[in-house]
Amino acid sequence: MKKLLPLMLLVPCIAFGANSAQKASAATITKKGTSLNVKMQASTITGVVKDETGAPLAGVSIVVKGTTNGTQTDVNGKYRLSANPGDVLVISYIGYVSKQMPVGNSTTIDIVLAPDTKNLNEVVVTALGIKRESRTLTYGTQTINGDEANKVKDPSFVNALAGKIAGASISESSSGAGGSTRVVLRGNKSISGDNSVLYVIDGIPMPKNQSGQPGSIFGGMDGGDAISAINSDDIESITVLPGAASTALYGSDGANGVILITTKKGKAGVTSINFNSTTTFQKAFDLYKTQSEYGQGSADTANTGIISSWGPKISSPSFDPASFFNTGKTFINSINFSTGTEKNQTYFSFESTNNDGIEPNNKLDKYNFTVRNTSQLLNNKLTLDVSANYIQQNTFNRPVVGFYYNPLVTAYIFPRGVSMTPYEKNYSIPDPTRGDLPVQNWPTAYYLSDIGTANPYWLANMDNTIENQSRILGTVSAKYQITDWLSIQGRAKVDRMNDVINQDFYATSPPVLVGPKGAYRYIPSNITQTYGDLILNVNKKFSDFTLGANLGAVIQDNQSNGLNIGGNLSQYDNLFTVRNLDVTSLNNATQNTDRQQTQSLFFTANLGYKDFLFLDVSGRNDWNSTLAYTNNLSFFYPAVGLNLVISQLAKLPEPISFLKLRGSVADVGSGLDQNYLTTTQYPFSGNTVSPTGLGSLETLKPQKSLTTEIGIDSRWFNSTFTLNANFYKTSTTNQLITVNAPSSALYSTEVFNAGKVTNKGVEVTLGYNAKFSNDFSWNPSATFSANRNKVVSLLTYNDPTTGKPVTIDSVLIKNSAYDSRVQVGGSFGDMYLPVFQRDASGKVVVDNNGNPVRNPVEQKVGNYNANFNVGFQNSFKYKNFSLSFLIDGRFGGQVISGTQAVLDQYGVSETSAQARDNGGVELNGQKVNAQQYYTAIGGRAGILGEYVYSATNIRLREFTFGYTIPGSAFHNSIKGITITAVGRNLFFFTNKAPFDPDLAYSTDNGSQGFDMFNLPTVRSYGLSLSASF
Amino acid sequence: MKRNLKSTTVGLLIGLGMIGMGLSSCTKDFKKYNTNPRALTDSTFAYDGEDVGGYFPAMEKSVFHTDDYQYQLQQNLNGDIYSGYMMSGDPFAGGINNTNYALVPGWNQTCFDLGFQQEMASWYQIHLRAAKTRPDLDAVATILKVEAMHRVCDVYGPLPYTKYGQGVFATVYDSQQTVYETFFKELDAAITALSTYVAANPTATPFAPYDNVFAGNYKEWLKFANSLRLRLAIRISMVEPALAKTEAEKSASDPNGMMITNADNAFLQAGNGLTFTNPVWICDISYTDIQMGAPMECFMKGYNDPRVKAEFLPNSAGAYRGIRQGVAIAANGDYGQAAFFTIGQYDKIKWMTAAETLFNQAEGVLRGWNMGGGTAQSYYEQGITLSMQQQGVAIGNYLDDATSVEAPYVDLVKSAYNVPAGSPNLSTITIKWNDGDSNDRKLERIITQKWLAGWPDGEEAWAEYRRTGYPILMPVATNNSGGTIDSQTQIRRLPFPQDEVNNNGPAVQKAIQLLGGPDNGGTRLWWDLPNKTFVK
Repeated sequence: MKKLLPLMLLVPCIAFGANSAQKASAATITKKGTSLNVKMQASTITGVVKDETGAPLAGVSIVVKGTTNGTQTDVNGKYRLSANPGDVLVISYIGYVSKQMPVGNSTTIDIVLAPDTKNLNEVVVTALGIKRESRTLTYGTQTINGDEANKVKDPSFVNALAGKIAGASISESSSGAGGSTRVVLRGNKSISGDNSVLYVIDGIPMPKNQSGQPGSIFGGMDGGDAISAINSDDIESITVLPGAASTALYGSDGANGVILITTKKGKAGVTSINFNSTTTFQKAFDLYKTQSEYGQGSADTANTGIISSWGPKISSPSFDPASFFNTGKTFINSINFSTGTEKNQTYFSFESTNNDGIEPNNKLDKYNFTVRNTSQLLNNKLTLDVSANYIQQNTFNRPVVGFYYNPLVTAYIFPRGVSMTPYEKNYSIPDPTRGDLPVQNWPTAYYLSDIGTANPYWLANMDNTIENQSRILGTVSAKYQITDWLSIQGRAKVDRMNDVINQDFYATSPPVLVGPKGAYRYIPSNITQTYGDLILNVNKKFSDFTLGANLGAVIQDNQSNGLNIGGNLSQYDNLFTVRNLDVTSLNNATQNTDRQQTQSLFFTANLGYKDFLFLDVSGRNDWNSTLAYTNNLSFFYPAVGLNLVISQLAKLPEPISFLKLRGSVADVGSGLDQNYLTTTQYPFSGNTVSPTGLGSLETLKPQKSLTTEIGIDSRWFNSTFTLNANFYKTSTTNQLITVNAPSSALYSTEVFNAGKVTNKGVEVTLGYNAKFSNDFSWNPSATFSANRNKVVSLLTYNDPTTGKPVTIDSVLIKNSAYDSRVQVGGSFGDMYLPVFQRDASGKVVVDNNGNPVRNPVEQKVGNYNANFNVGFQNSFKYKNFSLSFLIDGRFGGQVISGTQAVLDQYGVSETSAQARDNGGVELNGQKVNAQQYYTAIGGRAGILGEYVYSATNIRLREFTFGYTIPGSAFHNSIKGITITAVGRNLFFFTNKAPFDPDLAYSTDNGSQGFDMFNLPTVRSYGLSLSASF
Repeated sequence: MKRNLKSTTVGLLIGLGMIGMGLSSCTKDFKKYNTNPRALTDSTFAYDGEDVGGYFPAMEKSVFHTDDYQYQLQQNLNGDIYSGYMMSGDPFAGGINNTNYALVPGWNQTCFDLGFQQEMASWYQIHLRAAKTRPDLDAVATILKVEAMHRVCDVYGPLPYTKYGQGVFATVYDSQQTVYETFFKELDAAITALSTYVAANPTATPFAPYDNVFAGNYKEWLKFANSLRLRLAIRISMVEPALAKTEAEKSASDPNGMMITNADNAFLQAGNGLTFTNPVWICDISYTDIQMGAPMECFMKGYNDPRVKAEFLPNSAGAYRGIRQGVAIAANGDYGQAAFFTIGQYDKIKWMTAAETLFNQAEGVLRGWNMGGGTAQSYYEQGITLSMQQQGVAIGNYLDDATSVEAPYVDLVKSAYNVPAGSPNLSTITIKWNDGDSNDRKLERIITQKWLAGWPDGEEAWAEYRRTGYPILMPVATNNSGGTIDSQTQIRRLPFPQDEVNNNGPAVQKAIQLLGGPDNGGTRLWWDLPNKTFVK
């Protein structure tokens, strides 16, 4: 792996040509070498370049000194070039000490390169796809190569990053394959806006395409996100730019950090075919514990006419909710083909992902096609890079959360001791009185209108949501090398997604949700992002100084159109078409047409002095269309950073091989998060104008976020040990805050710029590279991160009637699953819920029936953010065997289980049986009847604040064990086959919550740390086979 | 060569600069991008006066909310049950809910939200645009506002009424007395303004395109406003008798008259683009969440009331059975034999009928007010007659029945809930007017009949029950209020909504002081006197 990484980073660098003048000549010379006329009288020199362990090094630059005659090694480390005796070969490779070898009479020269322990010239892809050597950077980054990220493939590769990025909080929504994932870097900054990271593919930001997220306890379906659709196999490397200094060039979109993805492209001189097939199986685990001791009934008396399980002791078997879940199957097959000459490189890939979810009738099929061509024209001065992707994704019944349409509700609360078999086998039965209409087989007594219960198999089979999504992305990039230090590059990209959702709900579905003849909803939409930029690159060296500068202009335009029409069917049962909708559907249809445009000018400059001191300065001015009609369309934000390579400057004690200190200050501005906030709109339905709308206290302004960061990068003991650390503080002000005003206010929602939220934190990455022999190596790495968030101030405004300043120190962001309240002095993610009323001595107040009394004022019961996160990755290699595992721990924070509250209410939970066994629940030293107690505190409207659990958990996130059959076993007809057993999310070392705290109800700000019949967490295991030809 | 390079660079820089300038000039389209082409905005909204008229449908459809579950929370799971009209056979929230005085916080929100977010907010917008230019529309908006907001006020007590629209996040509350006094002032002004307009434009119906109650007939609106003023005067007749008399007599003497024939009745109906499903039908037939209340069964049965067939559907045994408030319900369907209602899916929604005005006139006479010359008995009997007519049933010799009283209650499921004959929880009042009765008995007779005629508006009936103590209603079978509500006294109000407590906290704390008791269901409102003995 150690050798692969620099190689992978180098390859795109070659294709693009040099970006940094101070970079050792490798790339530049190679480029020139390709245009050289070989001298006639020269002899051909061949050889192999290896590292100290004897492993061949690919992509090593070999140049005849003083000329532009050069080449580079192939994957086997072999090279061939013409040279004369007496010439000197200069062999250079990033991360290794350059070597000079005189050409004697021998035509074979094998070379061994030693690692450059002083100065690892690792190249990092930074903002806008600009590549820089890591030692010149004034801010922290983390790079993960594609193979590392995809060790255990997931239909959405982002989920596979969990535990691998310091400072990232990654929560997968409970929606199965293809669902969206919330990734927050360095804590939540924005109170009302989006806190998720920005994905950038090859320098171009990707639209989020995040559709609506379920919020309330009644639930809904996650609509997926744009990033989950990309082919993980196309990923060459991933660079995380967590801080503002690194992302200033992305403006508002980058304020929450960036995950930069560099994709594969064809390689010169190498033709390869890679095939990978991964088959994994998913099993639901960590399910809620149910009881099978007490049966259907109430007050210890059997009653077949109710759904509750508060009946007498039973001996008949109970339905096991686990049996509702299938074994999920995921097949990911990918093939890629890469070839290239010095002038033209081509890459093609295809990936298919076929997933059967753990919920019955849930499926995902995704197909990705990628083609990319890179060519060098006009005497290698012009590099053209053209790529196209096509993605087709069909999702069938993505799981929902919450009560409505969710089969898990009744799979869990189904009466104990009752057989589910008839309801499973015949969830639908023809009704001869209705012309054999298939009607739901479900007792009336099991129907609860307040939570819309139904036969779980009916819901899974007869309430269908089918989503067909097609997406096409096209990118063109042209770069012209004007002189050896000046180049200009222009890029354009179009990303268009078409999405159609059809929802068919059959007649006799829960009447609270679906009309007597059924219901239908049709949701077509399309999103188009157009991006263009023009960047001038300067790389210049003046004696002791190096200068890398960019000057550019960017335009980004996002448009979306959508329609959402649906309702009950009016005339014909189960005829799912718009024409059969009842008349009110038209009044309730929504249609959106959105357009947002950002235009920007920016500059960035990196000045280096004697390879030990680097100064970064950047600035960007944005014009943002969301600010139209305000006083401030345009805003500027600067960043400055400094770094000092101490190990270059002074002789350090022996153990320290490399030491760098860095610091930066950056301001990031951004437009408003939404369109149309600056114009008045009057929502209407039919002839009725809805008076409640959006109010704004004052003219809205751009938002600001100021980040200060210091960091240290170091390598120890001959660079076998690395330690990098970042300390940061972000202060976000002028935030756009959307507040649900109290009902008595004129507008239901108020938006304003205010508030100050700070995030302080630390990120540490540790790495060790142990090579015990040529056969055995151990590469552990660890990440640690902690973030502290504080709401410093919210809002002071002048009351329009009194003219006096009014200070607001608490706002409710969202009132759904729980009250997510932002309070001055508190922190983002504080959760407020009803709790017990307690007297002065802390005793629970009970009413005259012995029931606990609810405190009329909701209390803060916790915060969903972790105190710190730890990831510990280990890779072992022994000969052709490899073994790796990732242990991932989250410490601190709280989560809430609404599911447990409902299971308790219906007497289904194991807790409720234990309480009955114990003769009741002890409250203030007295036993309260279990049913009475849990009916009072459980349920959806219960005292949910008593269902708070620690979110601390440690798990075995990934495990792989592989064996590589070398090419030699096949007489080198193929390069090798690797078979790997893989496992993901295998088990918890500890988990105090009754569900997986890392799974989110949805990716919304206010729905984190909450479970209400979420899809359970899954254990995934299987085999992966990859072959290279 | 070097020079060339430099000029290339300079050229490129100039080029970039020009692109930059080009960019800033491109921002002229930003206004277009940031204006929603598919939304109603200021310019399109102003066409044809829709920016005033467009708000009326929201006001009219939110007095009784017409969107399914909203009505259920606005009124059906509180007033409709507390009035004795109805009861739910559905064990909502595990059976611990408003029906047995465990007041579910989320349920106490909707009535308030509709009042403020629909009625007050719409009125504000109309008043903002129409106060100076369209006095007629402004006046109707005021009448609608009072009609809607007195219902909200009678649920909670103090309201953020007079200062509405002034604060951004915090609106201060007024005492219920202030709110009522404001209602009267507003109605006075509206009646004056509308009368003036009608006098000047006797045939104009500018409100017709937006009106789904009286089809834009301002004369009917004036009758409605007078009847509404009488309703409010009656409501405060015990707590503030002098003001009540003045206001009631204003209505009785107003040349525009009051609603005294069934042709004057106020119903919301579909039309003008407004379509709705009757919300009571939704709760009753669609959700099967609400059925006949026990007192309704017992009065109808005891009185042999012919309206029972017009209002309820018999069960499979042909009987009209009710459910007692607060019975513990193990499962949905246990009370499946209780009566559902005849209200149809697309039936119009009753706001106020002439019968109510007549009963109010009867009470007015009892209190010594000049109600236009009739006697208490004549108004009382006319009220019953109008109600029978309105329900399309023959009155027979109902008015002469001097013996029938409320029937005992036999619970469908559990005999422990029975209310046997002779119980103080059963009314002993008869139908036939008796001038020799005490005023208290007379009042009980009037209110009991007003209650029977008031079906299905439980919110109004609950308010009158709280004011007068009539009709006699059976107490809740189980009380889960945690001691805050006395079973015998019964529930007096709903707590302030959680959203206000959380987000308008300081104002709510002051409102609780104005309320004069803790913010729970046991505290009496201003017009709800503990001593209800009749004082003339």
